[in-house]
Amino acid sequence: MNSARQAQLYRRMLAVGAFFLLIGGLAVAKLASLQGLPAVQALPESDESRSFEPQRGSIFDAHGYLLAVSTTVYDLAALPANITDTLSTAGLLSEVLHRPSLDLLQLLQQGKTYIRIQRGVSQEQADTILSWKRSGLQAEPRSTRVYPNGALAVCALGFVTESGVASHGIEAKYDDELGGEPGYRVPDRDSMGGLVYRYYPPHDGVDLYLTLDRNIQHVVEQALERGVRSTMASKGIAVVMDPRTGAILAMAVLPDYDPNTRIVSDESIFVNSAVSEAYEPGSVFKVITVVSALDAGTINASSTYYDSGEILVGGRPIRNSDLKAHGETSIRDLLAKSLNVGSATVSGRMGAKKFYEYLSRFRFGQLTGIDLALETSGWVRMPGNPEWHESDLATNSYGQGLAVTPLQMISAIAAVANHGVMMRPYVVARQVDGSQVTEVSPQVLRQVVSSEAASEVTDILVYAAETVADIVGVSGYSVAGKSGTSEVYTSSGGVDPNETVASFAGYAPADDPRFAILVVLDRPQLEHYGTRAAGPVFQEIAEEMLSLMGVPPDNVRTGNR
Amino acid sequence: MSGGPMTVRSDSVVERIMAPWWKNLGVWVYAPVMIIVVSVLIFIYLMQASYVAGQAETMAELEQELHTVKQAISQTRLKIAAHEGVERIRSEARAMGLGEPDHIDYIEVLVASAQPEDQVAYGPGWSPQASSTEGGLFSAALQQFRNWTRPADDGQSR
Repeated sequence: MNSARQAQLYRRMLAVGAFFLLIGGLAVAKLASLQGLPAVQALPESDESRSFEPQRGSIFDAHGYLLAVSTTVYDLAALPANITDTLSTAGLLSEVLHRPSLDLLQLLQQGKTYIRIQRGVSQEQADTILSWKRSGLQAEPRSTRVYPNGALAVCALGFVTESGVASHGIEAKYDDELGGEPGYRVPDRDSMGGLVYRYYPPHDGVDLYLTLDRNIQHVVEQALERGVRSTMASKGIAVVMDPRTGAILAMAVLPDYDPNTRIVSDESIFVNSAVSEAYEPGSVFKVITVVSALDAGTINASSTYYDSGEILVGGRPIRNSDLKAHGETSIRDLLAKSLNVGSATVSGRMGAKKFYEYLSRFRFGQLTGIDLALETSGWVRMPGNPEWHESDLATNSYGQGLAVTPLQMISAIAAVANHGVMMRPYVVARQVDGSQVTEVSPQVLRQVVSSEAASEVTDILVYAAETVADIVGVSGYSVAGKSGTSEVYTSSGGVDPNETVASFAGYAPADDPRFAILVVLDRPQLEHYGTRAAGPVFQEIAEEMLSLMGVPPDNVRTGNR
Repeated sequence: MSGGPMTVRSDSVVERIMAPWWKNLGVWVYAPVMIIVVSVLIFIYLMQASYVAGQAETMAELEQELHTVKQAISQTRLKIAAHEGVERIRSEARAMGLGEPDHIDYIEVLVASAQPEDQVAYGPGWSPQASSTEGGLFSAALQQFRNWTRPADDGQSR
């Protein structure tokens, strides 16, 4: 080999070696630089990013019966141009969707590029349709909320719209907890600069277990529905509370609606009137006046007053509803006969300062703090308010001239039942997040009146209920209760005696109350007064509940035979 | 001074004796080593990319599986809810001839005085006295064993 040829060979070797060295060097340099860089943080969202919707938590009643669950349904659509055999496709769809094949055929033969065949197709139906592998048929998944019991407890539950917006009730109040947190998949770079994805899994929403008992709820709704129908009331409200804990056992508002479809003529029906609307409670409020006066020491159980049938307070006449004078009257008869003059006399003896202090203690005009959306505080005119008039002290004492929510009223009555201890009302008993369970403990708001005062009023309320035992009593059980009737102001500012709000509040067994019930009927047409309109509903609910809860009669419980 | 002839002589010696080695080493060893190095690097990269792609695919499959499981849970919950609906249970009960009771009678059940908790736990052969004197679970177990091995002690015969 000559030297020229050798030199050429050297140069070629050098070139080849340098080429491989360069490639190797570049690869090593790139590797080293990438390994040395800090980890690439989450890149900004791009078209390649994707979010994963969490599963919304379910809602169960106190015993674990399902009240609401989220599931995936499918919207079935067609691209008619891509369907090869329209006739047989319509036939097959007809079998699965249970719709006339002729209708489906007409639908598929429309000269449109895209046709929505049916919304809300179930998983099974969608699987069947997709298994045919027919071109031109699409099943688009969509999350939906299902309420298997229909309208049961809808006023407390609320609903979730098709666009995923929680509205009213528990759904709205616990939207963050139920909704969970979405997950993400974002593009990232690996150590060699290649595209990879970082995955942040979704955190599903928590499951909620309520204090509501669906069996009691069912009983309450049935009784209320009968009450509304038999009195031709425009609206009915019933709330059942455990006075010992503040747990709401049932809450019903009629007319109601099916949260699955939400087909209503008036959207005001969505409002939970038990917590979001206030009413004049009427004579039920006398319970608060009397127990406050007893607690304040203004009166005692043996106190009497002279009932002249009419008194003037602040220059305005206050009359009994029966327009009669009852002479020397006991506090017991004041409540049993529901005498406005007596109530006004008691509040007058207490004085405005003390009377309204007790109203504040019972949290009238304030939120109860219940865990339901859109609670309203009602309104109470206090001294100092320019609109407050001296006569308000009298009218307020028998539940006129102020507005309270049914929930406020039952909370106050429950406090009397619970030896004067007021509990915060609540509907969610526990939250379950996977294996983590968060129990909600009953919360004492305060001792509003003494146990003695509450006990004395309970005795009086038992006496009051016994006077109308055929309407509100339950055989074998002592029931404490009080009716209320308030007149509704017409658009002209006057009152129509046939337009009333009839209510009844009470608890049983009186010596060891297991539940407190409030029934409110708005504008009952066939019965206008609290006892006759709302009393039978109270009676039916109390009777069924004592049986459902397995509460033995008084003589068995107390051993007096 | 001149080093030229010396250098020329030296180069010519290397050229003559060593050059073929250099040439062979360069062509047959050096280049393949470089190819192998680069190939290994490419292999590592591809393996890593393949692993990541595999992980992504597995992740997608698991996502789908998770969705299917969640969907199945929801559907099962709904089926259970449909079966245990109040109206359904009532109608089924009526069909079975069951109805609301006319009245409920509560009867008094006399319950015998409860056994002491410790006796329930250790069985009838155990006595608090034995426990206090001999102490602890071990002695209780020992006492039980004695009772078992000496049936005559408690007045029973085989």
